[in-house]
Amino acid sequence: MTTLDDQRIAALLRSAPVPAPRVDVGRAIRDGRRRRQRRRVGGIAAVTVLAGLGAVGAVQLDRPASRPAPAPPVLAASPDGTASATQGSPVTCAASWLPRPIGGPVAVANSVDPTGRYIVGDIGSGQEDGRVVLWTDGRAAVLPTGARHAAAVNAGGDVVGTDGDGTGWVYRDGRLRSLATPPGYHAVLVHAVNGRGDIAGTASGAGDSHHAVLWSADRPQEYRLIGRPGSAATGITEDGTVVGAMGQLPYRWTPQGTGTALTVPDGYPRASIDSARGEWAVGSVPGPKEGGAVRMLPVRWNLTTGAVSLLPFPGTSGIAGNGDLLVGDGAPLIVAPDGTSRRLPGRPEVRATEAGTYTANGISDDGLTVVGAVYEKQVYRPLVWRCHR
Amino acid sequence: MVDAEREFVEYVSARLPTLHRTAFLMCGDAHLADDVVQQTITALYVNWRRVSRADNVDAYVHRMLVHKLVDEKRLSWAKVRLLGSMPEPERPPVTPHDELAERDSLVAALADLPRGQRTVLVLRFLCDLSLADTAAAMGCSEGNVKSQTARALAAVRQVLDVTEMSGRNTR
Repeated sequence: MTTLDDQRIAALLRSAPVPAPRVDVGRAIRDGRRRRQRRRVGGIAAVTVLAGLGAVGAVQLDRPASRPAPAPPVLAASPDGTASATQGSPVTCAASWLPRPIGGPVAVANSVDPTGRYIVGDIGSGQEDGRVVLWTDGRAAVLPTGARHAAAVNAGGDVVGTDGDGTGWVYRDGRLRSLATPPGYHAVLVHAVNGRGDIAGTASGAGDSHHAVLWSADRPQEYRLIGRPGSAATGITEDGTVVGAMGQLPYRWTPQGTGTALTVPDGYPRASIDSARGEWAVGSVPGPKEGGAVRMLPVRWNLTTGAVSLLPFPGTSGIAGNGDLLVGDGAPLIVAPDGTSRRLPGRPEVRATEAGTYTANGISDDGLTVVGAVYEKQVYRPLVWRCHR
Repeated sequence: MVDAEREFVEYVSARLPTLHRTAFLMCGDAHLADDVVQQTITALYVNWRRVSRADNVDAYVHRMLVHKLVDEKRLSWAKVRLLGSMPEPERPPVTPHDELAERDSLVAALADLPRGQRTVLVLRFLCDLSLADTAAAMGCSEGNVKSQTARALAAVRQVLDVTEMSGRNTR
């Protein structure tokens, strides 16, 4: 949701001609009551709130925004005492192609480990036939067919992901193994793995029940539930701190399992965390309404100080352990904690110039390796940017 | 009880146009969209007291909608699409005119996409769901969502660019 193209598609979808709905809320309630009565014995008092409610094709959607739009966010002016790696020395970056061991018009690098050595991505037609590719020092290997949709790779080259059926997996030392789905839940979503092989994800069950889960790459059939029911995990740092949500609140758990809520930025009803590296986490808050949708605004937390700040970008693709933010906005941008930024260069042979030609999906902990893809002539090609100071 | 029911009516009334738009753009069929939204809000009513306490009611409802669509599709997707393309006097198609040409192309492009790709486009761009929420709504992984989005965008961009070249040069 970051490029002009994306915004244009969103705007078109919001304004595309759609026939008037013929949905009857009154009928839904009548049918629903009948179903409820069938489900549990006992009558339900008749109510009259429905008076005047018929077919609801003409209901007004846009209620006036109840809260004024937030002031333009600014980057934190101080780097929060972080040892920023930027010493004023210039950083030079070069983009290079990642080899494609198999064919397919959608070949994308999705994630990189903290050291920048391992990169994972998908190659396929984009239609449920993608294979996971692991690049080690630039050399490509295709994971076994059972590995689908990689989520992350750690500094040891362990890859984790979730297949199309909601089964988690870990690929370690050439071996693919399933992660246990906790009893009472029917699916898991695996998000992250740290250098110790701790794997974080969320199990989900009937009726929107969910619970944060921790596995170990050593013993994939064992698991530990984190927090109370209703928790969710989306990231894990190298020291084992798990981040995610508890109800509407952004949350963190210590490696021992003690949970605390993280700050929700002032004036926002809730916030969610996407990922964490080092002492940083990034996520989003619901921003102003645009048309019928809500624009999500990116947010960054410092897990050490607890400070939270809104970020003045349309979105972020991730954060490095040193606090460098990856903004995948059209031409990918890296923003250091002190607010200085650098654009990543393109490839000379890529002729396409529109926003969205380059996407950046992952960044290493020193901010010097970024992975992503180039979209040109209906084909995505995987790309890595390597930088040095 | 009365309060819960009022809340339900308020919620559904406010969301109905968006839900219907979402369903229509996902399946490309007005009747199916009506059916699916009707089923979704009926199920929502049955479970309202529990759902209304959920962290993110919208995300939950999106998930219900996607599941209902998938169920319908399992029953008779091809048949429904055939029927949906028949002319219908009560519901005249929106007349395309110049400003609308691009929107119509997008709807046409959506119709040609495989279901998964259409679903990710609508959830991510119309409903503005995050990667994680889209994956949760579809019951698949984020990587899957990413690759489907990439593929769908490729197809849609192609259509939009063609429209621009043959139509206006103003953008």
